[in-house]
Amino acid sequence: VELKPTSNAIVRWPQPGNSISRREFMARSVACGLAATGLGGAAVDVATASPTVRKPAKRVIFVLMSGGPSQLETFDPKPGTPTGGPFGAIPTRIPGVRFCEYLPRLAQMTDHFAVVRSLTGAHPAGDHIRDLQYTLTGHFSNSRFQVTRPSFGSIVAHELGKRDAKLPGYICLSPSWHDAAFQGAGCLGAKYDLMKFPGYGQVSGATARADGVSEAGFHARSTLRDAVSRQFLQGRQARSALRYEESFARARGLMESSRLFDLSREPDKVRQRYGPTRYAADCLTARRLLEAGVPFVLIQCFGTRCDWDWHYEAFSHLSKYMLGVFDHVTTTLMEDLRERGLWDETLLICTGEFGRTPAIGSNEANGYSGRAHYAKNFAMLLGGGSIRGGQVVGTTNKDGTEITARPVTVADLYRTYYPALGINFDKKLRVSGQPIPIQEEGKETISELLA
Amino acid sequence: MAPSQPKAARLLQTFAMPVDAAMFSGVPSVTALKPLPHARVLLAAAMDRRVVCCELPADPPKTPPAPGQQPAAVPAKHLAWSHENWVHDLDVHPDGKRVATGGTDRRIKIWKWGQEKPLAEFKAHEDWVRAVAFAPDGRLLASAGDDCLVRLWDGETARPVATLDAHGSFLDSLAWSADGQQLLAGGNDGRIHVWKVAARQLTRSIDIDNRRLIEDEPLNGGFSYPGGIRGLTCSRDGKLIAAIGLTSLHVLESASGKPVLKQDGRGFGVAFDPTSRWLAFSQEKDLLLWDFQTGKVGYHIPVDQLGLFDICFLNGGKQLASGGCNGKVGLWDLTA
Repeated sequence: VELKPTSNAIVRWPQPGNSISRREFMARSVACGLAATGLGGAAVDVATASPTVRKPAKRVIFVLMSGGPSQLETFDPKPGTPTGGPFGAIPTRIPGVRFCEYLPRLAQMTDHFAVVRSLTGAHPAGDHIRDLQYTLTGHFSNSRFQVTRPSFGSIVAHELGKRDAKLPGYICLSPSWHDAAFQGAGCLGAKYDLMKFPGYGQVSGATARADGVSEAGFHARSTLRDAVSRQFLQGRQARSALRYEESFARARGLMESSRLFDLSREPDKVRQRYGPTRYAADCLTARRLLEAGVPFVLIQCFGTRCDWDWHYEAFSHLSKYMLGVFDHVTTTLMEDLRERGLWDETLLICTGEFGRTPAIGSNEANGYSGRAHYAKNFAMLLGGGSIRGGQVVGTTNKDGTEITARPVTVADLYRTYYPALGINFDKKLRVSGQPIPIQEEGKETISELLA
Repeated sequence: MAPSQPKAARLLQTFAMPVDAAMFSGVPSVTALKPLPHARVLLAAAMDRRVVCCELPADPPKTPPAPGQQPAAVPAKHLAWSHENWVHDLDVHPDGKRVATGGTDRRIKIWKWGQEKPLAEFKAHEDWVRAVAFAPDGRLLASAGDDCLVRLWDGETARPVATLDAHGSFLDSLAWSADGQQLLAGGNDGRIHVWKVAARQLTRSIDIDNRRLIEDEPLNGGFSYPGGIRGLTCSRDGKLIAAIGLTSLHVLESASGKPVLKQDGRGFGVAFDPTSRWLAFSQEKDLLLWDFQTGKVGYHIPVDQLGLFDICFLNGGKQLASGGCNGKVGLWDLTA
């Protein structure tokens, strides 16, 4: 097998026309290890300290509400106004704060999470790709550096992943065919790249033993390979050779961990509690992965009518499907994490790459009975870990067209996520001698969000 | 002899929905249309929470537009009739004086032409009211909602009469048979449910498979909203049923349920003319009229607009009105 390591390779899930064999999967994993050797170990500098929290979270579930959920139909409703749309609003446990009427369970759990209503993106009209990059990385430009900067998930995997972990530190559950470099590890090296799985409780064929190879046979082959490798490593303690071995261990760890994706191993009542939807399966899988030690799970709400990019007949779809599923599953995940003692150690983020226009569309270009893209102001949810729940950050005007108080950028959120995880955002990753700051953009930490 | 081509109807008039920035930001879609013949107006339900009135031109129009010329849009007028939120459907009582409206506020309101306040208003469903339809004799008003129920109300007093509950899916459309004996309901599951009204009995369910599938979620029941049947109507002669929705138009024999016509393409509005010769329906960006006499499309009206939510015949079938998401109502002449 010819190994062609790249610095931002993403190990793709096999798709029609993009299938990989188990052998190729192993080879790619090895390539990941080789690629990492070019980093000189991604050594870090520690500069000035970013805020510290008393009990930082140890792991992240990042729910990417792909396509852009409407802030007016979720966390910043404006019923009865010209922009209000057809939905009503209901009270939450925060006095004076109302959510969309189709989020009744979340409205009763507001003690446990915070909402930001004054978030602003990079491009006012919303651009899926560029705003997605901003949302998943905290920056929207690579221009200052001649390298691809790592995504949030990769930095968390780098900072919070265990050195001897058998599983990847950054797992993405998504049926999306779209693999953008900014979703990956960039200059951090492929060791910290995302490992993408299709979600919905499906396991990778590539992580299973090849047909015709028994468990005993596979074990015998592994033992032989280890023996040969040990012999090879004698007197060769170079980092590259060790990384090569680590990659084999991680690939083997993944093969042994396919059970993590097998939701039939969960009791019926747990599966029924989450429900039958794709989002439910992905949240349950994410919880299982966290329990197994994976520090970062990205759930991408994507797929046929499972994303949030509804230009047409949006209100029917939202009220009769999307919002109900989101409300039920997200609150179930919160409850499940709390009951298992994981909530205080987990940072949960639910956000889209932008929101939707206050004006309601009326043609094919702008959507009919729907709203178009809008990043001027939108809303998101975060909770768990050291996030102080029971509050709303920021306000918008009565029509939801302008931010009226406490404007927050995506980069400001990153200046909050990292401290919430005990990561100093001023830390610099040294890549080929070049110091790459973890989080450069943004003006300030949203300090009121941190406990 | 060359096959005859569909005719192009002449656009007589365009009405533009009035925009009231204090009420609605954007261009309000037209969700339903019904003529009020004695007042020579066309009523339109709109997303801006109000009912709009289009004053119909004289018949024949005093100054018809020249062939190929687009008439200037005439502003429609807001009535005082409103809901707390979107008005989804309206229907005119056979007496021509009363009008029922239903909306996303879960309420039905009964109005009288010439009066600003409703004669009656009440919470009708636990979720959005999607359709309202008076029986041909006016004694009953039927409503259908996203609570998956059909409800019957007294046409005079608006008191509840019965609840028909056997659908199990969101309902979008209602149609009375010409004799008023049967009520048809259609919705998300792509089935036409036929009720014998006097007995409150579900007599048939006709599956026309117009569902919106979630291929990625087989465990979740396989289909999502919005989908299924979006428009439903019965011919005046009692012989045919037409249903239109996400993927196609279906015309069936009323008595047997036997398929008569199927046209692929997304549609919302469907209407028989009073003679039962013509069936008008929206299909993608076009408005088509099927001629049952010739078995062909008789008129092809390129509207170039997705989301034509409702259509209706006027003036004894000589005109056709269409309205939808661009906030305009078109009035078409079918006599040329």
